[in-house]
Amino acid sequence: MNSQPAILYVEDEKSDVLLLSVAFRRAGLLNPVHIAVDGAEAIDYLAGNRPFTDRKQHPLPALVLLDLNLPKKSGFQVLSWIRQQPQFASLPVVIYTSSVGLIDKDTARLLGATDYFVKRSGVSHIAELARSLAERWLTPAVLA
Amino acid sequence: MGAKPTPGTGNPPPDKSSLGLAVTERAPLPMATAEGAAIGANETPQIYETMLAMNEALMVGSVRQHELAEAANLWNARLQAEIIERTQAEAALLAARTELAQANAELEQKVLDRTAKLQETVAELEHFSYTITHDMRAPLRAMYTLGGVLLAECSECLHPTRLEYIRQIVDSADRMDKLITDALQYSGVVREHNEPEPVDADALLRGILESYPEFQLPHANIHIDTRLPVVLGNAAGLTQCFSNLLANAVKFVRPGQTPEVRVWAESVQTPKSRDQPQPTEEGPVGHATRNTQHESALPTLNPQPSTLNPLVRIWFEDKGIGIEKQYHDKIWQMFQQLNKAYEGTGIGLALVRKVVDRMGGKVGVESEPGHGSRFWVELKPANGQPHPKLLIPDRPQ
Repeated sequence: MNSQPAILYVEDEKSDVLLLSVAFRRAGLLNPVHIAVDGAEAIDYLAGNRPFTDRKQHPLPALVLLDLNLPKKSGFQVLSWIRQQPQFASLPVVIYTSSVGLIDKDTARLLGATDYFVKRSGVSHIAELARSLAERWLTPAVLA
Repeated sequence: MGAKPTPGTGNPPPDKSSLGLAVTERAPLPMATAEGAAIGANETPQIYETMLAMNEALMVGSVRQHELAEAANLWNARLQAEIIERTQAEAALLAARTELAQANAELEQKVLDRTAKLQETVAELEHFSYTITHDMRAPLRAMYTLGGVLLAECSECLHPTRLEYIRQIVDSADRMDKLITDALQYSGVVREHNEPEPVDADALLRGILESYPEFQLPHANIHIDTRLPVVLGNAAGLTQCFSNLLANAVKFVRPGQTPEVRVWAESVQTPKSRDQPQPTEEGPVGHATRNTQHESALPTLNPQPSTLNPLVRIWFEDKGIGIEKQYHDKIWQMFQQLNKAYEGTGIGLALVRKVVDRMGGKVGVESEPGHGSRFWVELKPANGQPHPKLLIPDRPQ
């Protein structure tokens, strides 16, 4: 059984999901990555609604990686819902988007995002992303 | 004469005018005298004469009255006709006015409709750009990155030919992504309307040179000859303009040649405004009006220095492959690539021209194959005066 803290990646773009798994594999990260394909599913997962009631199969994540442009509920809606839940007040939520707009970045900060990464192309980019996530949010200190 | 022979007397009419008023003057009244019987003998002919005159006056009066009545009737009829005519004209005018108002209202509605439609189109275009950025680039990101992973992890296990295929896929994805970025930038320039503001062209250019290694030694030797002035424009547009011109200058060189680029600025004089009326087009009325306003504003065929606006021309000179004269106009068009041996999207110079256009400036080129190119952009100086540092008499050759 994997004892590493879990990550919830909220992403509708399949190729981006694949890229993150490649990034984790290449960085040697063993953290299980759970996927929610839209905003509504992300909220259901975190709230433990069906079909995510089983916490052994769907553990609460140590980190949420959140795209902004999502079906059903946007990344901002998910973010503000998370910050309204007392138990998730300090849950790290990192925005991972292709939007370079300052408005999006400011909005994310105002709504309580922990960090903001812009999606880029290239092997070196995914390596940098995996390293940053591991160092900042998935260190043993988070486990303790 | 209006007087008629008096019936029953046979006497000729008294020699007098037919006016009754004259009669009273000529016939003094009998009681006005003090001469008794002598007066009585003269009484009858005098009364008769008076009566005749009065009668005559009355007849004349009645004829005149008749004439006047007829004239009045005539005038009345004319007036009536005129009133009818005017009423009709007024009705027609009212109808025309109503029609005009209606046409106006319809026109206004049409303008409103068209504006709404245009706004819709612009919104759709913006959504399209957004979609391109977010959705169309995601697959490219995957192609580029996964191809890169394959190249990194399979350099040993794959045949060199197949590795080359993968490299080609990665390059193509990269090129496609650049095309999209450039096209988005161009469409962004087309839509944006920034108010021009003073921009320090010198600091901006040096900033660009510092942030790109390809503009530094040993990749390229770029030298700024004169301090560039503060110009009117916007920093984002000017950055696009300078970086595209520099990128071209270092790109289009013979293989193995180290690019050499020189940048300098000079002050140029051009007529104040193209749409100012020329003397030949101006009638005497125009002159009169101008004269009353201020005489110095009179246009002349040979403009005096006072009618000139100084502009700043910034030159970018390279020692690259040069451009044939027949292409000097064509290079500014979208997707015009003269030499396929050099990588590019064909948007760079179109973008340069568009942003300079937006800042109210002009672009141009002087070039000969094998002798390098000199590109220039003309911009307005920020204070309306040439920058003091710009007044350099001679540029070192």
